[in-house]
Amino acid sequence: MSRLILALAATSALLFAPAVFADNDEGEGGEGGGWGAVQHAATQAECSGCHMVFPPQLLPPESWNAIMGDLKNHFGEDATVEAATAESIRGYLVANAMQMPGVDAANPPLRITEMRWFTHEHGKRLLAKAEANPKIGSLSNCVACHRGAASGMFDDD
Amino acid sequence: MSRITLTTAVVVALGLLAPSLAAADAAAGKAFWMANHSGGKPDTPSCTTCHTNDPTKAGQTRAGKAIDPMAVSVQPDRFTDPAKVEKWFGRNCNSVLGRDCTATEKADVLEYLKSI
Repeated sequence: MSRLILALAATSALLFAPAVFADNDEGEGGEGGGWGAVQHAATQAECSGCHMVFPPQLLPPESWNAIMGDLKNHFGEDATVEAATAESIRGYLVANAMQMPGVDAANPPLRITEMRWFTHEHGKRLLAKAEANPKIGSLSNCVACHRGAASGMFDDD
Repeated sequence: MSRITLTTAVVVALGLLAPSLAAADAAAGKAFWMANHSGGKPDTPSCTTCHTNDPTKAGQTRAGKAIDPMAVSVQPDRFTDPAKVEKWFGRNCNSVLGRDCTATEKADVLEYLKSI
C-alpha cells in the first residue's frame, strides 16, 4: 500500500509539478491572493460538517469523482448526502479541480496529503511535527496553521 | 410488516417531535452513547470517538474540526431540524454500528442528550 502511494507520488512529481503551488502564484482569485472561499453553497454546507471545505483546486477531477462516488466510505466514515446534492457537489469539484494530466482514473489519489506537492510544500519534518500536535489533530486541519485556508489562502508560510 | 413500519414511524415521530411523550430511556441512551460498538468502521467505535464522553462539551471530528456540544442544555436548537437529525443519525449509526439505529436507540439517545 505505502509502496503504491510512493509510486503514485513519484509519478505525480515527475510528470506534473503543478504550477499553482509555486510561491506567490495564487493570485487568481481575489484580493489577498488564493482561490477565494468556496462559493458553491451545497459544497460549503455539506463538507464543512466534518472538515474544512477544501478548495477543489487541491485535487484532480479523477480524485473528486472517486471521492464523491463512495461517500459511504469516506476516509473511515459514512458521509452520505442526498443523491442530487452529491451530484451537484461533484459537478462543482470536478469543474474547478486541479489540472493535472495523466492521473489513473481507476486508481486516483484520494487524499490531499498523498499528493507530491503536499509533502514538497510542507517538508517531512514539519508534517511530522504537525501530526504529533494534538491541537492540530489531523493534517487535514489546514486552518490550524493556514489562517486563511477557509478563504482559499495558503500562501502564508 | 406494515404494523412494524407504522409503529416505527410513530416512535420516530414521538422521539423527534415530542420526546417527552415517548417512553424513551435516558439511562439506556447514556449506555448506548458511552459504549464501544462493533460492526461499524474501525476508526469510529463509539459516539464518544468524536463527541467525547461529556456531551455538554465540544467534540472534535477526526479531521480536527470542533463539534458543538450535543447536550440540549448547552445547545437548545441541537435537535430542532428533524431532517438534520435523521441525516446525522443515518451517517453516524452506520459509521459506529455498521447499520441504521433503531427508533428506540435514537429516542433513548435524544432523551439522554435532553436530560443532561
